[in-house]
Formats: sequence, C-alpha cells, structure tokens
Amino acid sequence: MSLDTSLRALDVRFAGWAPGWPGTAAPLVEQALALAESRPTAALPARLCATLPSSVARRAQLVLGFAPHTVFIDGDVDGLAALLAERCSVHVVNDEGPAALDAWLHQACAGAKHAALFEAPAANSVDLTVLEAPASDSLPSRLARAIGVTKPEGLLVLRIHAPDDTHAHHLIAHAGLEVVRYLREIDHRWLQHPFALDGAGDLLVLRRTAKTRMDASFAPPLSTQQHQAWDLDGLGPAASGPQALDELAQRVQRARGVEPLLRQLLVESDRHTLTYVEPTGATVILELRPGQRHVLAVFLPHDRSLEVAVLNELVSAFAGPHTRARPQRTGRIGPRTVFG
Amino acid sequence: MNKPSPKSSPRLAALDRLTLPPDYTLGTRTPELPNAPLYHLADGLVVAIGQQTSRIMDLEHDDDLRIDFRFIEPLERIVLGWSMPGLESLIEPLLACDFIRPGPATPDPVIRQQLASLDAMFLESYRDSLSPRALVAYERLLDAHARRKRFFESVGQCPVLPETALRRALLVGDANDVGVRDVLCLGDDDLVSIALAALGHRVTVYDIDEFLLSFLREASRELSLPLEIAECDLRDPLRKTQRDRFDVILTDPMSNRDCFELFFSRALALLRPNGRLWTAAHPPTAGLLAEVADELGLPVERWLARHNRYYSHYIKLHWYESDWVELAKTEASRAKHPADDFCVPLNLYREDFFQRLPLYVGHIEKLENARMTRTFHLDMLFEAVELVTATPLGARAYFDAGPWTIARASLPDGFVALRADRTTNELTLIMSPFVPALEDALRSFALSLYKADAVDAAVLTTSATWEVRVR
Repeated sequence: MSLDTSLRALDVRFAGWAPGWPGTAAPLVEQALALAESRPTAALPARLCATLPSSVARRAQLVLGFAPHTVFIDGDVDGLAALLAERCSVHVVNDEGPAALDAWLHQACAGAKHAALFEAPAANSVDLTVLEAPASDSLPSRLARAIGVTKPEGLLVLRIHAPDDTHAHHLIAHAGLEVVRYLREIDHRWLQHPFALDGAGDLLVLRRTAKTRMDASFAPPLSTQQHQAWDLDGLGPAASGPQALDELAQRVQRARGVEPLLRQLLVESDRHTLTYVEPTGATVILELRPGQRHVLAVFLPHDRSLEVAVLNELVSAFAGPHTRARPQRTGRIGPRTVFG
Repeated sequence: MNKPSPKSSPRLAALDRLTLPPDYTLGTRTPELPNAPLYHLADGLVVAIGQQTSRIMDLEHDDDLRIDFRFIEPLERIVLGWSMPGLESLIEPLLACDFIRPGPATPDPVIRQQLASLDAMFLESYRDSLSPRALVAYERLLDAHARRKRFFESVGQCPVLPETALRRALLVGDANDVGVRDVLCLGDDDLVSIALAALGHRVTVYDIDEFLLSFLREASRELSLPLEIAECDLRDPLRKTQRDRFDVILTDPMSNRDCFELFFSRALALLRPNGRLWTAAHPPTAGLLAEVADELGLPVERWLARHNRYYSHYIKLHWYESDWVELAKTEASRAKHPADDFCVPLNLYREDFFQRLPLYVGHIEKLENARMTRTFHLDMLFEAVELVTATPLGARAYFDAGPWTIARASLPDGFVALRADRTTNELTLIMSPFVPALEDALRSFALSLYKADAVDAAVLTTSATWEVRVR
C-alpha cells in the first residue's frame, strides 16, 4: 500500500469523528497529505512525530481563522508553513534540526504567495505563534521565546501531548497567559510504519495580555522528572517471547546509535521484562505479556526521543492489523483535571 | 442512610440522619398519584446505583454518601419528578435539608453546565459546521442528560457525552437530507434517541432498565419527540413483529465476544435487508470486533477510531472510550444466535482485553541522604520491604552508573523498580501493578531513610496510574 493510501485511511479513521470535516478544509488536507508524502524520512527529528494530514489542516485552519499577517512556527515537521504561506508571511525555526527538514520546508514553501523566512522573528513582531515543546524541560524557554516575539494581545497556539500538560499548566498560570480556546485531542501523531497513535494531543489557544511575563529559567514547582506509560494491545504473532524482546532491544539500539548502559532482559513464565537505560539516564521498562498480546512501556524519566524510537520499533516489530497504542492521557484543562 | 460521616456537604450530612418510614414497602412501583404535589432532586445531586453499593453524589461539595438499597426506588421516583406515595413524612425534612425542591423535574443547571464544558472540548472543533436543526438537537440532548441524574452501574451504564450522542445521530443523518429512517437504539443509556428524533427519524428504543424507559417516556413527552419505547431483554427470543423492521440500529455493548455475538445476532434479525448496524468497541478489542463481524458476515463499512467519549457519574470525562463501527447486513450475514432462541447463560458484563492494574509512580524529591542510594542501600530497602510484606522480590538486578542507581525486582505479577538520581536528588519508585500494601511499606521505608522532613505530598490518580510526589 502506498504512503498516500495508508495515510488517507488513517486520516479518515482517526480524524473522521468530527461532523462536517474536512468540508472547506479539504484542499488543506490534500496539501498536507502531499507534503507528508514528499518529506524524506531523514527530515524528521528524532524527538518528534509527524501528525496526520487532518491534524495539520486543522492547525492551519485554526491559525488562518484569526487572520494573522505574520506567524511564527517554532518547530514544523509537518509543513504547516507551506499551508500558511499562501495567506500570510511565516517565520520558521526548527531547533531540533535536522538540516534536511529545513531543506524540505524551503522547497515546500517555494512559490508561496507570502514570504517564508527561516529565522526567528524580531521581538513583538508576529500576530500569532505556533509551538510544540519537544520536552517538558524545554517548555519554559520555548514559551518565553514565543511570548517575546508575539505582539501584545497576540496569540499563541500551544500543542501539548502527555505528559507535558502538568508542566504546561503551571507555566501558563505563571506566565499570565489567557486561555482563549481549548481543543482536545485533535493532534494525531503517526509513526513511520505508518501507524497512528491513540491519545492525540491538545491545542491551546493562549493570548498574550498586559499581565503576561515569562522567564525562560522559570522552573515549575515540580520535579523536572516526568514519566509516560503506553499500553500496546492486540499485538501480532511476532510478539511471542523473550527472543522477540531481545531483538527489539537491538533494533532500538541501532536506531538510537548509542550503546545503552543497561540492557537487561528478565524471562518469566507469563511475561518478559526489558530494562533499557541510555547514557543520559533515559530509561524504558518494557513488560511483554505474549499470552495477552500486550506490552506495557514505561518511560521514566520521560525522554521524548527515546519514546519515539521505542514506539517506532515496537510497532514495526510487533504490530498486527488491529494493534492499538494508548498513552497515558493529558488529564488537565488549565488548573482542573478532566477525568473523574 | 449509611455512613461515612462527617460530610462536607450539609445536605448529605442531614440526609445521613434520616430513616425510611417503618411502614414503607418496597417494590410496589407505585403509579403516579393524580394531583399530588411534585418534587425533584435538588441541583447538583446525582444517584449512582452499583453492584455492591449505591451512592448519592453532591457535585457542588465533591462529596458522596452511601445509601441503603431500600432508598433506591424512592430516589428514582424523585429523580423522575414523580409523586412520593408512602414517603409523605420525609418531604418536610428533605425540603429542609435542600435534598428535594418543589416542582416537576427539570434539567439540572449544575450538571448541564459541567456537561457543556466537557462537550466544549470536542464541540469547539466542529460547532461551526452544525446546521440549526443539529444545534437544536444538541440542546435537547444536553437538557435530557442534565435531567437524568441517575446511573445504573450494575448493567454497565456509562453514558457518552451529549456531543458524542449528537455525532452518532449525525452519522445516521438529518431526515431532511437522507429521508426518514426507522432507527432502533438497542440500549439507550446514551439518549441518542433524543437526537435522532430531533433530526426527524422514526425512533424506537429497546432497553432493560425500567428507570431509563420511564425517563425516556417522560423526556419524549416533555420534548414532544415521538419515541417508541419498549422493555426488551436481548437474551429472550424476538417477536415476529420485531423482525426486519429497521433501517439502522445503534448499539454500545460491552466489548466482549458474548455481547458482540448476541447484539449482532439480534441486530441481524431486527434489520431490514441491507440495513446498517453502528456499534461501539473499546480500542483494545478492535481485533475481536473485526473477528466476530467477519464470522457473522457483517462487512465493515466505516471504522471511526475513538469516536465515542464517555462521562462518569461525577460528571467528568471517563477514561473509557470507544471506536464507532458501521457494519452492513448483507445476504451473506448469518446470526450466531437464532432469533427464536433464548440466549442463556451468557457472561455479558465484562471487557475482553488485558486490563492491567494501575501503575504506581512515586517521586521523593530533595533527598536528605542522597549518598545512601547506592546498590547496597537500595538492596537493603528491598530486603526490608520483602520482610515486612512477605512478598517475594525476586530476580533482582542493580545498575550503578555514578549519577544514578537503578534497582529492579520481580513481583508475583509484575515488577518494582527504584531509580535514584543523585544529580537531581530524587528517588523514583515504580511498581506495576500497584499493590497498596507493598507501596505502603516501600514508601514508608524510603521516607524514613531519605525524607524525614517532607513538607507536602501531591497525589494524581487516573485509571491507569497512581502518581505520588513528596517534596
């Protein structure tokens, strides 16, 4: 199956819940789909996942709905800049690299009606900023930069995936940002398989007000150590025994290009557990239950790049036709929790 | 009423002191008394009836009260806004403690507001695309959900959000666009029938819950929406008059093979040729649903991942969610259970997937003795826990890398791991599954060793995780 066909199927399946979608956004979805197909695999930063075409189109539609003249995109693996540059001028910065990402984006934006500049904008110069922090500990600096370049009363579109919501909640409150809109679970990530992950990210639209202040060194009143747990159900027959888990560890190691400090496999009658520790301290514990066709993956401390690599390898090695990957979910809207 | 006391909710505390009249008899299902004064359950109160215990929740005080099962029937009458024969002596005290209020039942503004705010998280994404008639249907759904105030957990009731009910109805379509359809809600805890009727369809509801049937009759009358409502236990044979009647059936069974086979078999008998069945499936059981649909010759027309969002009786999002799948009745479709057969015994109230117990994650920050977090010390911690709890912590493994030390051991059904980080001065405890006695011992020993002067602790729980942070 071609990437186009696979992505279309995933897009309908995961984004098809909203009535009337895509409606007038259909051209944006098609453009996002074409961009996804044209992006070289090497252009994806290790820490980030691409999002489904409908998610990119939704983001574009949301931004364009505010009719901005200038937009800053802090991190763009989806080609959002190319969608927006037809209607407004765009600044893009990809701190995570790689160079191939900017090269691809340059090409994608070529010929657009408005300018696409690959540099950070001047202070207080843009109407709206779109950002996703690749890790909890970089969120304060990213948010500080976003606030700094956005005009007073301008808007920030913050993309959040668990487990960053706890930090983000403190940051938003601390920075004095006004929450304008909250769109839950519309940012659907997909892995290279291609395989869409359950538990999509949220979009928060925030306003920079006269009270907004942000210090990049601000540390939320929590430990910086976050964790994330994933449940993969309905695994295929390859997820059969300790050998499979050992091979998975080797695949992760190859993908990461770093020798782990610890790679320990424990074999028990009904389950096998892999503990994998990288030199940075990033750790994942995988508990495979072949009889239940289930694997639990616990990342502690959470490291987005290890998480993406492990999920990619898990899905490539173990997924069957009905495998689903469920993360621990973002559980907050501002100061209150949503589950109960 | 039963304990616990004291309550933060004054009205629950007052209710706790009341008893039923000694001559009150249960199970009479007394009909309405004409011209009797009507009362309704006060705003912010919800009744949840469970298998073992039943409770009244006061949403405004975040409090609940366990209730005697003998109160269930009178409470259901109050929720329905019916008269209270045999309970006249309780009216004054119930009014005095603001448990009931005079007048017929109306949508509860507290619940309505909470549901609207939950709905908004999803509705914001598509509200602009809704037709005026769809918006009216949504308002009616919101009113109906805010008026119900009673949940029957014993039969797996956990309703979808009103906005989800609307989306389900919109997939059938507006009768002005697709023509009037004969639609059956096979079980309607979700009140989708309200939206379907508001969109112009001929709607029938089959359910086994007497309260829900009464509630839908009241709602149908109040909202002037024609609904055909009938009690129906799907395990019983279907009557001839019920068969081949419907163009579309919507159902949300529990995700297990028995349920799928029973509900799909009955749907096949109830549907007209080429009819459509929309069904829910919890994502981990997607493979099972596909398997059963294939066995019964029901091709999948559409599969919408995580379409259905549910809420709990606390009027918060429920962790449960489900896919929404359209199946087609074809000439090749074959029921597992013939329409004339009784289908017993079946084990309907369960979910067929590996439901792991919650994971426990504990963080102890700003350790007072970080240097005592080496392999030797963490092993001692394991030893102490094993001794006190008599739980074997086997297959231990340790890793010491300068800035941090990791210790891991097997539990009878999982694992426990400790991770000491001497750069951040933090100790993290991970346990899967969460075993309270073990966690208690582990945390107590860890605190006595590393955190004698803890200033506060924060607990964050979900269905999948217990997280505790000690500072």
